[in-house]
Amino acid sequence: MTRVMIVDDDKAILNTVSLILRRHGCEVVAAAGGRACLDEMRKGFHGVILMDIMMPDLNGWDTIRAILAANLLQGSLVCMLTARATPDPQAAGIEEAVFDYLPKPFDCEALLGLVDLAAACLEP
Amino acid sequence: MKILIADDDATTRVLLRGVLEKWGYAVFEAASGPEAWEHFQSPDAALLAIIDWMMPGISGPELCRRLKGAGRTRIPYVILLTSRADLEDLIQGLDSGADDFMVKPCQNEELRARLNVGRRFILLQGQLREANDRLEQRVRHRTELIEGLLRQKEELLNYLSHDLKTPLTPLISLLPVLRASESDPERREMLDLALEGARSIQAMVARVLELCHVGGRSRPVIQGGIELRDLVNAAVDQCRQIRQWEGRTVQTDVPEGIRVRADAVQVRQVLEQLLDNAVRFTRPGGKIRVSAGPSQGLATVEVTDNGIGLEVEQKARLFEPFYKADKSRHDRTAAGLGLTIAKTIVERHGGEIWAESAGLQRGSTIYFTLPTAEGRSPGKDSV
Repeated sequence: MTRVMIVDDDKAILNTVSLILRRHGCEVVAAAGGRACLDEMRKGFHGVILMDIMMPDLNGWDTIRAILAANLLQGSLVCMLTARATPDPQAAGIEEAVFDYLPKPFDCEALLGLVDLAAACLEP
Repeated sequence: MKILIADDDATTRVLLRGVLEKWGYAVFEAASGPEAWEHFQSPDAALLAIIDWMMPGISGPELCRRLKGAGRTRIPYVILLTSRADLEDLIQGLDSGADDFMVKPCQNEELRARLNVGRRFILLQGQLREANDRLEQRVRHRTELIEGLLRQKEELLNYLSHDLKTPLTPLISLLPVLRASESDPERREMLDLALEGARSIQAMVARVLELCHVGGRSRPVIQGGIELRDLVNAAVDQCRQIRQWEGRTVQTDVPEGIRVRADAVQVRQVLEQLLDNAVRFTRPGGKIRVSAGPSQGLATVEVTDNGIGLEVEQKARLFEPFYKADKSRHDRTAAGLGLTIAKTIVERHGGEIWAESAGLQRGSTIYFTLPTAEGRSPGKDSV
């Protein structure tokens, strides 16, 4: 079963993505921010991570930096959920750690397509 | 008040100094043209001057010409003094830039009266300059204010559009799921309507962000030598793929070899927008024509249709943001930003865009210009 963590400070996005992915048969972990995501990683999560960028406590880029610093990215792929259409200067240096981008607002097919693709890449 | 006497005759200078000091003037003297010119180089030089016509080095009229020449800000009021009294001299003196003209020997009372005229002139000039400075300052202030407001408007549009994307996500992603699992036709129709609404908000948000992007700080990536015909053909092909043509025909008449200085991606966007509008506002079976020609460093592109045409009022407002020619604004598939985006792009290339129409039901043509590769550079206007 594909394990997915959705990281977003917006409750509607957390619930929407969780609903769609559970119906699709995924095991979903919802994290309401960067710190909650780091906690889940420390507890041993690995799988597909869908990460919002603009979050109040720890933004998406800094969360990735923290995951990398703690050497916790092994066995996971990060996809960024973004509302921006232009390249983000804050991503400097860690673009390589990102598997793909999913621009908001996304539809069901785009979300599932991306998660399936990432899951297939994660399989040994 | 300071006054300069420029005369090579020492006796004249002494006599004049005597009366002028009695009248309260601070008197400076110059014994030659160059000495007088030297005096006027100082920022606190006299604003009133009595200058003799015949002087060694620089003559009186020549000194006047230099003083009134371009680029000088503090221009003195000059009374030209001469022993020559014919009309021709008077005219030549005034033409050289002197403000007044007196014949030696001059009567004291007349000199005083004429100097008073000069003082009134200087006073008015000072008031005028002050008023002008105040006005300029106000204009600068207002300009800054307006620029600030425009920036705020842009930021507001930008943030609002970004912020709308997140709450749109549940609608865009969940409504299709609901619709797919709904068997009741009436409920399916309701869900279709809801989804259509969400998708038009999505499209509008995307258009607003596009406008912010092309009008914002990012500049077009301009390259010289872009083949215009290739851009037109690519745009026509693209438009054929995404639009229902329903018997409409498009004819292109763009000669090979027109090379423009342009951001190819953005100019294609303009062409696609104009074609999209032409299809949108032409009945099935209508005719659309794209043509282009170079002239004086510019390429002019025309997109003509025989569709619903434009009224005069529509023509004038066509490129305004959020303007829709359809007054009822019923067409929710368009945000009313397409032509604004096109105009922004064209203007940032140093070109112009405008519309012509013979009236309602008589078709319309949108023209736009781009600098050609060998023609004039877009210069400062392209920022």
